[in-house]
Amino acid sequence: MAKGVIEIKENRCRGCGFCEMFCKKGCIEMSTRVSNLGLPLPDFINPDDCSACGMCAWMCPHTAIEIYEYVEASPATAL
Amino acid sequence: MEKKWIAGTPRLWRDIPVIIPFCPGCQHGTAVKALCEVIDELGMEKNSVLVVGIGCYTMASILVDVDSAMIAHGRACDIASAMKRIVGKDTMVITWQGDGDALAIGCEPTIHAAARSEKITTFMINNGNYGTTGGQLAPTTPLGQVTTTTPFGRNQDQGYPIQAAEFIGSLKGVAYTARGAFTSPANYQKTKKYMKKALEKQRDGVGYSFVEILSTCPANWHMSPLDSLKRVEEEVIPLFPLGEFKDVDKIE
Ligand SMILES: Cc1ncc(C[n+]2csc(CCOP(=O)(O)OP(=O)(O)O)c2C)c(N)n1
Ligand code: SF4
Ligand code: SF4
Ligand code: SF4
Ligand SMILES: [Mg+2]
Repeated sequence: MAKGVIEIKENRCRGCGFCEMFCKKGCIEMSTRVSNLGLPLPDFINPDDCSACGMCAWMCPHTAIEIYEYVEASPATAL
Repeated sequence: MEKKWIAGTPRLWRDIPVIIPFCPGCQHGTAVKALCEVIDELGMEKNSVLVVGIGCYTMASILVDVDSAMIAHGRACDIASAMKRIVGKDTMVITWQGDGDALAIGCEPTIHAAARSEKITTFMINNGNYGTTGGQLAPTTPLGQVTTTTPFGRNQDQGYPIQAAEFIGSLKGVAYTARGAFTSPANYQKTKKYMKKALEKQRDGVGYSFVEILSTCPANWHMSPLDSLKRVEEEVIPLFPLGEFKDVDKIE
């Protein structure tokens, strides 16, 4: 079960591949798609295994990844 | 289920409407991110001033949402020393410099600020060359490295690299020195811990604090981002070991 989800901001990504290298769960893979700058873009290929560990975002030099953890809805929002 | 943000762009990272000019895989961005997080975690955003040198990292003066000044190349520690003496102990004065900035043209300001025990903190990004100007030899360039001014690789006739964290740590006026890197998630967190400790030494008025951060420069190393990271791990860290080199609570 996915513990969270990541968002890749493609306009900031520079295709370095650090996110693919450091995701221990194999959730990220560099694709054949390219950005406006002509650089390869990563895909979040395996969302089910994401543990929301934070590491891909720590290692991304271009602040192109945001990580969100799934949490129980607070009572106020559930209403 | 709700989504809760846990990591990514730091709160103190300004979202500016221009393309940030860091080359693919350049870790200047990682360093700026770590700085934003550290200032935020220490609750120092309202009382910090960044004094930023000249290099590819100069962008930090715009990216970090605290007061900042861009300073003539190499002079950050001089300006920061004066600033600290004017603004007083409650403002954290931080210099953000490169290896060329802090150790070549800025060698004298850096060493004398340390010797005078100025209550400021220097963060120095060591990428082994002058990145901005096209990759010339820096005081940190390892033997054998090809740069535009050492086209056959640095040899003994061109001297030996300076290990700044150890060397500055040998000066009496210094409270804290350390060297970190961003070669793994664990190192990212460790480097942040060093940066925090350095700022705490300034907050507590102990003395000068200095953290060297090893970084990649894929563009001028003529390497892919992944190979650059591997080079830091396999070639740079053995020459510039990670860790703390000085850590005192009182200078006497
Ligand atoms: C007084 C002065 N001399 C020279 C320069 C040219 N210059 C700009 S950046 C730089 C070197 C930067 O090297 P470093 O501090 O290591 O930064 P990097 O780009 O490698 O991150 C030089 C020599 C300048 N701007 N001002
Ligand atoms: S948060 Fe962790 S598990 Fe999820 S994609 Fe990033 S590195 Fe992989
Ligand atoms: S680490 Fe960041 S910049 Fe590099 S490929 Fe992944 S998302 Fe893009
Ligand atoms: S030239 Fe080097 S230091 Fe400058 S932005 Fe490019 S990779 Fe980074
Ligand atoms: Mg440099």
